[in-house]
Amino acid sequence: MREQDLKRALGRVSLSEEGRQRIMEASRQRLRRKENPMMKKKKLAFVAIAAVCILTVGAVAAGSAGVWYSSSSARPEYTSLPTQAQMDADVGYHGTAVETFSNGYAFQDANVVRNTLETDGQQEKFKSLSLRYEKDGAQVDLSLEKFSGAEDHEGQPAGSQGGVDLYAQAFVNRVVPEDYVKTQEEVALEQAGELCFACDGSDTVADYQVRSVSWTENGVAYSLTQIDGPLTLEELMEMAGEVIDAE
Amino acid sequence: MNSLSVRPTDEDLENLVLTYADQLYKLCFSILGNRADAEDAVSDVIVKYMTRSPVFRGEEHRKAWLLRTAVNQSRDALRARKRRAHLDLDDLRDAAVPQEDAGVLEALFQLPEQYRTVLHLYYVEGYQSAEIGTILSLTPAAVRKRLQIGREKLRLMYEQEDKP
Repeated sequence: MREQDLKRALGRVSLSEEGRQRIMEASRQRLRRKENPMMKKKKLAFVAIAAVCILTVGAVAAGSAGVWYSSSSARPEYTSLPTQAQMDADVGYHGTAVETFSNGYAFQDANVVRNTLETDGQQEKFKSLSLRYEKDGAQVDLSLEKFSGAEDHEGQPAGSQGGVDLYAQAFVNRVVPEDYVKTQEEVALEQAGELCFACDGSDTVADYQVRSVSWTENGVAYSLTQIDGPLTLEELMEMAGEVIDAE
Repeated sequence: MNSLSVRPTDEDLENLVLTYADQLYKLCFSILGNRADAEDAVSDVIVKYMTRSPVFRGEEHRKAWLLRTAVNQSRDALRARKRRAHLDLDDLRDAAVPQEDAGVLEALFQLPEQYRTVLHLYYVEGYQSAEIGTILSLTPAAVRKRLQIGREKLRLMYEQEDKP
């Protein structure tokens, strides 16, 4: 056998378009089942919670539920506070962020998040920023997002800071298996806005206490969220005020 | 309950599949010998890539990671199924591989996997022995040895077939 015969024969094997589609679909389904178990649970819950908030707005506004997919690198992409120029270059817009808060929470790292929001068959893709702050092991996430629903906020009006309206919410995020059946009590709590559900592909049920404050400024939706942390909603609102004042 | 999920975007997935699926499929097919197993292995590699978010020094590093993962995934598949690679000639016909080339591949699949993989990386991907060594965690000398043995075995098989 000549070497060129071997080379040619091996080169003849190729993936058909149907095969490509099968691989795409199989990978897509498996990724959905996996639901990013490599992400830290807190981060996963945070992303899922953000999705719940927006999806709820979508359901009210458009009369039907939507789906929010998002992804980010498991490794930090910024280890220093991103500048406005960096934000412009990486996500296409910029907002305000602070290095430290007066209560001691300090910037740790940040990532660009790629989002796909599907509502009523329409897809909207956008990038956002997720910045993490830490103090004594507790974490707060500050997210900056710019998309068509940026003016809508989940939660209750909670006053204003520097002329900007704030919205606050506190609830339990219950991460459940895909086939989980809600009890009547859970349905009642969900309807009261005290319980949100998310799936992460795991077989177990886990609860996370979430407190979040959100606002919109210059078309950018901000939210400060803490999961299973010591901050009250009032303290989060004070932190929101510091971001707004830094504008 | 709203349907929620957190996953890489469809765009990420499409880009990855468009860029690498064919290359990975060729390699997995060289190890596994049939379309269904090869497609499964490629999907495994893609899911690993998307969920582990590895960081690369450059495009060559990324490609080497994908190829190494494809080799490992295919080997795992062979081990899990406790069988040798099975060359499916129907798959070759479906892919419009001429009979002459199908014969070459048939001979190739009589070789142990370790030789097929090295031959594939050398002849199809165009890697040199040092680069193949990096991908397969072998010394360049071991790669050259496998190439030599692989070629020799193929030559012997062909000579035997040609004997009356």
